[in-house]
Amino acid sequence: MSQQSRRKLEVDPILRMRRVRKSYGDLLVLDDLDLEVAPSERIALIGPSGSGKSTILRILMTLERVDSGEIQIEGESVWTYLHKGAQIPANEQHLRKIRRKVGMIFQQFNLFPHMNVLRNLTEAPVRVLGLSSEEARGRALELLELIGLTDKIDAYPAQLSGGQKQRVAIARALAMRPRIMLFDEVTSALDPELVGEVLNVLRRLARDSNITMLIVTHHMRFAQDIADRVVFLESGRIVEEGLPEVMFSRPSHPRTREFLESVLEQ
Amino acid sequence: MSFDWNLVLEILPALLSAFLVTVQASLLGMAVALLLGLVWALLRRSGNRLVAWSATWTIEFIRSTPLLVQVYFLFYVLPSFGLSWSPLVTGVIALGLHYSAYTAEVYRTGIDNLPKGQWEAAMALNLGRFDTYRSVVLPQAIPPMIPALGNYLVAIFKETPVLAAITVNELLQTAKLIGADSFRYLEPLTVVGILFLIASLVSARLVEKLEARFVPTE
Amino acid sequence: MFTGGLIHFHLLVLGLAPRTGGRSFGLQTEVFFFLRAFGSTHPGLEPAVTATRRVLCTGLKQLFYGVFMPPPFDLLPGLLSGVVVTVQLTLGAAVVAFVAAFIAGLGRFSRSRLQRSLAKIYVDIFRGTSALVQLFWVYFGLPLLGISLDAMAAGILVLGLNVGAYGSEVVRGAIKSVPREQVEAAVALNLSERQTLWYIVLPQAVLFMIPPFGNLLIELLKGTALVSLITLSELTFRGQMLRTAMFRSGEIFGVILLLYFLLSLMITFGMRRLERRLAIGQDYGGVE
Repeated sequence: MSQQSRRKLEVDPILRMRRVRKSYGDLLVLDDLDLEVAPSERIALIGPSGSGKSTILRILMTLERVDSGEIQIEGESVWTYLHKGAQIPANEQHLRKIRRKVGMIFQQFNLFPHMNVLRNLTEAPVRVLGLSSEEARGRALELLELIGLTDKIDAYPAQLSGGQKQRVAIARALAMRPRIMLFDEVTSALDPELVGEVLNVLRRLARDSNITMLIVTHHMRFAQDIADRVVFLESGRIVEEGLPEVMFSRPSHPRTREFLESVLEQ
Repeated sequence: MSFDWNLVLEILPALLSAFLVTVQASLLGMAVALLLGLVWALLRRSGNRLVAWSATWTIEFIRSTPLLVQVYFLFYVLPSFGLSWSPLVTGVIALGLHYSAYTAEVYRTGIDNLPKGQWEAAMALNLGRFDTYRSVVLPQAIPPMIPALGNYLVAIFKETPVLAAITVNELLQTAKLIGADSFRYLEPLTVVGILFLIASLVSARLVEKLEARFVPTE
Repeated sequence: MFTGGLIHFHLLVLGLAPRTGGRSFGLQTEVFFFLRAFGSTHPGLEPAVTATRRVLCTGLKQLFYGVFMPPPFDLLPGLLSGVVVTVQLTLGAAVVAFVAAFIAGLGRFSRSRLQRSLAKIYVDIFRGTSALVQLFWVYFGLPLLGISLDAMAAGILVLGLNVGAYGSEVVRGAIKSVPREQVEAAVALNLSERQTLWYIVLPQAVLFMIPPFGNLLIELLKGTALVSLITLSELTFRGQMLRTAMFRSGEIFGVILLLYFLLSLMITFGMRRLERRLAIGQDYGGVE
């Protein structure tokens, strides 16, 4: 689980963010952020609300632009690209190329309500990856088995519980075979009794695949179980990061200690 | 054939006085619509189920049938009841009747949107029905309605040409007469079209301003 | 049973009931057979027999109309052709309106400044002027610029473009109502902009569009009456013609109003059914 490939940082990082700044109007959300992630690494992003954790994920998914700074995925710059020897601002074509490597799961599931589960899972593989409908269906069935919802293949999102919806959302993203998966507080909108089924899927994913995972969460025990590295973010800066055992039991920074105390109380 | 600009200058005075008739018909029609709409709205809230139901379906009937046919109906039927009014008056009544169905709807949503607590407070103060409406309900419900009502005034204005069918000398009728007279329809109709367009754009701005003033933004 | 027979009898009179073999020949045929048989065996009475037959025939028809179609409903046959033209006009204009609404509505979201401006200009012009004036302009004014359209074509074009302008606002509003998160999910799955619009946004937006489109369709129906003023023989025009022939204005226009009302009810119900069908599987609270 978490011990896999500690060698990581000797290999080229799959993800590199350098001096990234982002503001929403007057509000500074990311403040000269530096972050490197190794391939297949599992990162837990924790911190108070408004600290910028979701923003990092949204930027990596190209849903938001950065004001300044550099972002590289698998060595390729996201927001600029090389054209006839010069770096020019990325166009839609380039962004789509980058996006192929990344997948995201949202807090509000965002399943397509007008499609049943099968179509939700096969729409993008067919239209973007060019799979035939049989191939896509085959892939969908595999994934449905992985998440344990094979019997719901014809159901519509409206007929599913929150936990089921989120599991389908995970399968939908996995169907695109991304290298990096981003999880944005994926259990926050769920009733407590449904949280476990989703976290279990994440655990399975971490155990059985090589996908790099960035998980924004406030489930600390879960983070301790699954993460290779925990990153604590506050006010747009990384305050502290390190191994889960260290971070949760002997954090160095006082702010980290304060935050963990307030969270673990609940 | 090209556009005869001299003709335009010649006919402009006639068209402008026709414009006044159009404005007059619109304002009067709106007045009728406002009054009648209020009547419908109150009838719909009546305790008597038959009355409320009839009012609802009457409104629906008026709203779903063409203004032109309603105009014809009044124009040809009223005389047989001994009421022979001028085409303008008949037209104004028809406009008012038709659009009262729409204003009734505006009144309804406006009144329904008033928080129930206001009604309860009025009852607690023992205000009678009339006073409740006068002091509590209408003063609060009416301001947000004003932009919507303004839009219907514009709509009435744009439908006044229908009155040409019963020979009211508004803009379209005048343009038709000019056209029949001079054998050139293009110029008068184009000028009329442009006049409507200008009036419409100006009133659209005005309604926007009304909306900014009267509708509280959340 | 009696009423069944009576209805069958009336249908026979109108020539609508099928002539089945055997016993169900109906009263009229039996009477006629009897009369014919009688006439052939009593040759001298032939003229009387024929006369009787004729009186019976028309008399029975009068009876039928009198019982089932009292005034004012006797006007219906005369108005029927008008209803057909009205429906044709409504359908034709609806197609134009639908296409125009989508082109202009989607055009407002275009990347190109030119396309956005063109769409806005179209909407402002057709919403800002009176439909009747537009109708007259196209029918009487355009010929002077070299383009002549017949009344039906002018009606379909003008009404279609007029209602289409209002429709484009509906399309625009509906597209904006689709939650932004749906687009984000599509981006996360790397769907292209075009794919996102066509397969994710529009299918959801269409559901929002149906009630306002229903209202616009009724406005279209009402607008068809205006085309009578440029001499198209639709329902209102036929009403005017009957009026000049019969002077029963109240009844005529009353029946016409009822016919329009019925058509608009059909539109409303049709739209509700459409909404229900398109919303299968979805948790759509707007449908009754």
